[in-house]
Amino acid sequence: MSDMGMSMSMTMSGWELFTWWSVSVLAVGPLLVLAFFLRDLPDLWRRHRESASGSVAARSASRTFPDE
Amino acid sequence: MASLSFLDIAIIAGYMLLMMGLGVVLARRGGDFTDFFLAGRALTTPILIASLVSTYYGIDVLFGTSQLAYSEGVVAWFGYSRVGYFVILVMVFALAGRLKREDYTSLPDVMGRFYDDRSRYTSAAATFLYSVPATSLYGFGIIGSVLLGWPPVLSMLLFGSVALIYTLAGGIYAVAFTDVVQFVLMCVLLAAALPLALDLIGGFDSMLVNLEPAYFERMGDMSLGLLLIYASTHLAALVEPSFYQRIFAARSFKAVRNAILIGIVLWGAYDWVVTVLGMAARTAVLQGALDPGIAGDHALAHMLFAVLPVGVLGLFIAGVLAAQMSTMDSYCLVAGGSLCYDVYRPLFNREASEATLIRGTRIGILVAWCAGFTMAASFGQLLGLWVFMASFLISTTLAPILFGLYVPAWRRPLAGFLSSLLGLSSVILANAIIVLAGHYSEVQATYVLEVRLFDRSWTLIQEYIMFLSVPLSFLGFFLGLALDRRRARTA
Repeated sequence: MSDMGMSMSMTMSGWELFTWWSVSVLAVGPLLVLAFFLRDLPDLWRRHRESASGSVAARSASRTFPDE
Repeated sequence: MASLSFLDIAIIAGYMLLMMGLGVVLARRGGDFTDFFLAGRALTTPILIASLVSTYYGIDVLFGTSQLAYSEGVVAWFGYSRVGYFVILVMVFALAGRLKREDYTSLPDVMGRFYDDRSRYTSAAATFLYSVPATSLYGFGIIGSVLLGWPPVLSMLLFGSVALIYTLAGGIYAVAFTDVVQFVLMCVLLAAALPLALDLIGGFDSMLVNLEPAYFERMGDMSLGLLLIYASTHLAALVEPSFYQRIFAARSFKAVRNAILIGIVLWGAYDWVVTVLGMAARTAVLQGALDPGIAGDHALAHMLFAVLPVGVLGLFIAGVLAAQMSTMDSYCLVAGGSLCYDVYRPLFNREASEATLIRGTRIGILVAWCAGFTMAASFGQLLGLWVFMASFLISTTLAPILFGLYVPAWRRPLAGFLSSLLGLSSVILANAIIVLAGHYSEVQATYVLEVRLFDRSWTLIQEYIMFLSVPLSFLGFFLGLALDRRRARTA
């Protein structure tokens, strides 16, 4: 492989790595977010029902992410 | 393009029914306005991530970024998309924390409380116009005609109505809960499509072999001027009404900060995958796997029709619809809330009950949807309209918001009003001149006006207007401040 070809190939490797990293983020990230959302869902749902009926003062939602 | 199978159509119909079902389940018959519009300020990080990511990205990104990548390469990500992440970072660290210190309801509410009702009304007009879902509905028309072969108006009516119904029924809860489903669909299915697309062209390396080296130059032949134009359109993120609404709906600053930071990672990945798909489509054309006559903005759709198997294609189209519905529902809600809370309430009924505010917001959502539908069905060229709406919002609100947040002593009514007024009037005037006296350039994809000045020919494009109107808005602010002080001294 010529110098130029090798250089381009190495650059492409970086881009290819970035591409697969991006694919992984898009594939796994939303599923993780969904899992955390489902953990919150009971509290969010209760809050929604209470506020929708207007009968009970709304309570604060649950904690989800560790730093919240 | 090939037609869809029964399974694909069934999946798309199933998705629509799921959204309608969520609307029914989340329908509200009581409660107060803060719950309907801001979910009681209790949204947590996961739902904020889903809602922000899916709201801010629609098919404009899917088709627009892939078109740029198809014709120019990686500059689509490095030159255009990347600038947006910096602006959003500024939004998080410079503005969001300060905005979260008080219980504001909307962007016009911030303006009204910083200055007076005149500033509230001008910013409400800008917020409403920016949030009218014309481009979202137009996007449904594109999805229908490109992916399904339907008449655009039918697609706008059908898909737009589904999003309208659940938004009217459930307010922010329906918008945010459906956003979660839409967020997962739009991201995961895009991730699933890329390996199949790369498989069609023979792997990642075949792009290097087939595409010109210029496709891999990070900034391509992008000039500083063009970069500035792109950066200026991204400025809308600083005063983006849907961002403001999510900030006010968050349970804490930390929740929304984390959501936006995680969102930037997801937006970056989404943009990059779309960029690579655009380049893969170009490679497929060069290899003869795709028709060389396809339009750049339709390349990604052609590519996906070629590679996605039955069932997955239906899911992918549901994902595209999801991306667009999540954008439309949020903007409808923001426009409706702005019309009711920031115009109707202060102008006609300051003592409006909670039920009246919710009913007014629902009417506002309907008005916004109808206005958007009329625009989308009437105008053939909506990019120019979007540039106008974005420059309108930025020029009316950016200066007063920044000064109001950072220099509380400058929260003088005349300063806010003159700043908004000068920004607003200069945008309207300059757009009228360029659109009426100029012409639409297909090459530059914008309105262009040629003027001769100082023995030189100058080309003015619509995006340049912000370079005039934003400084005028800042000037108006200081003028109002000076006049206000002089009046105070003489009084």
